[in-house]
Amino acid sequence: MSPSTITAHRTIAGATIGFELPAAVLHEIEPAFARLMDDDERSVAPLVWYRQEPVGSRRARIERHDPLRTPPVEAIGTTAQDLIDDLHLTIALHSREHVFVHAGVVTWNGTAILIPGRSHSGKSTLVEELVRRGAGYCSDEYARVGEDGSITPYARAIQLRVPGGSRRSLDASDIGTVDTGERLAPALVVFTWFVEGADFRPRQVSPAAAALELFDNTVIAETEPDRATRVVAQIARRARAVKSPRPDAATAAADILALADRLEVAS
Amino acid sequence: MVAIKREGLLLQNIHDEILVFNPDRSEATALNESAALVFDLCDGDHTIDSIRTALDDAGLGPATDDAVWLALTELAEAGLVDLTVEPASHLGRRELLKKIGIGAAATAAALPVVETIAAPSAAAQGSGPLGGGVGGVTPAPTMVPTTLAPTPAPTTPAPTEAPTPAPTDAPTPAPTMAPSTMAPTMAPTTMAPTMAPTTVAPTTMAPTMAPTTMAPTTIAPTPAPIPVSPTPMPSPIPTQL
Repeated sequence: MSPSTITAHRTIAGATIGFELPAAVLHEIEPAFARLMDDDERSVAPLVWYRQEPVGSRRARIERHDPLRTPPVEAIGTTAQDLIDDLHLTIALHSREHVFVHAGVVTWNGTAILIPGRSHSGKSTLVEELVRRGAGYCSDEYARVGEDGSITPYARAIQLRVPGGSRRSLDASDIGTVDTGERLAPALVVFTWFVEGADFRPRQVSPAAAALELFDNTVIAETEPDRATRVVAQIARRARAVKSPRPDAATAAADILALADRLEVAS
Repeated sequence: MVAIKREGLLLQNIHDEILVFNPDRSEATALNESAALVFDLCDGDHTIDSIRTALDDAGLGPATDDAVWLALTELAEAGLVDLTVEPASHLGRRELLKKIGIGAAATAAALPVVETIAAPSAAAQGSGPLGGGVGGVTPAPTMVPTTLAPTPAPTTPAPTEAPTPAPTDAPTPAPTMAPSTMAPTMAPTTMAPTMAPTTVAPTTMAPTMAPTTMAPTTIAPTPAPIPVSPTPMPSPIPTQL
């Protein structure tokens, strides 16, 4: 460990993670998780650590030491941004308070709308449009789900892909409202995917089928299936689920919010 | 008696349907109302006749021997029940739908549906920089261990992202989407960062995290991921919203 390296742990969204890194790197990553840091500093020993290790005499890389992964020790990059990118999935795997489901999440009429989907499925683009139309921002990547099926925001910066394969970060507060509420009721789950020229024609998904699709997007589905099934079943009990291909994000966002309004009136 | 539920299944009742996780196969299965009722009656006592009658009493048509056998064979293929008798020759889903007729959509929707997927690995869900990480995930202990005991054999090594499931739904008439006002009812909230002060509080390293204990004891070759059940069933005829 070099003299400038410090040892610390942080509890982020219910996951306690250890760091053995230069202070500058730690300071650089903290703003990315500012909205997710837990106040209570419980004395939980981190299971996963990030360490800077020398490579040769003049370079260094960051390694993740995580016994839940295979391999348990893995180089994840050299920069603070590499560390930020890797931390999101680590947090999702290690959170003891919530089950993380891959889903964009916004709030509307005081309840949560979930848009499940793996990465590259267009969640961030759709979430951005929903926020621009007045929905509250919760997450573009993860629904943090409590044991009762309630949703807590995972408000990282929206990560948008741009042509050429690069990306840009967008602070949701620059385009709308960021929701900081906790234990939001899940009201609507929208399984949707982009199809050129498609119309958004939502059809109801049965509760068990919705739970199955949510399970397919649950980070701990393989490692903690009991907990995962309990939580997705709770969402399915509480929310309406629909499925449809969708057109461009702007059109689909308007359609989704209109649907949410209709369902609220109907209920 | 025709079938018995397997032991060790994790069940979640969701209204009248069931989500089942089969730890032996690391698969999750969704049962619609008809399939859930048949599954409930796989107790070693019920016969084809009594199950058919139960379906009929619940209004879950078509309450026929074919429908009961369809459910039983699919439940058996999903590893949720053991059949105690040889399956009788029966119509498959396609033939049953044809027999029911296109006009009987409600009846067709009540056909038993057993849909199974393999539990996805976290690695398969990630996508590198934007969505997650790489590498596999080892089945986890539920508590933070005090020592890094050797972990069970690792599972799916595939680091690639699973593709978005291809939609299989048939097109349906356009819904009559009522126009909505776009004004949100939610008041804007102020951001209240909960981050601790920026001073870094050194802590003691967990003694169990010494690099020497992190030896890659789990890099043994892993079994191939369990494939999706070979008999995925089409979704029930959906309800237009």
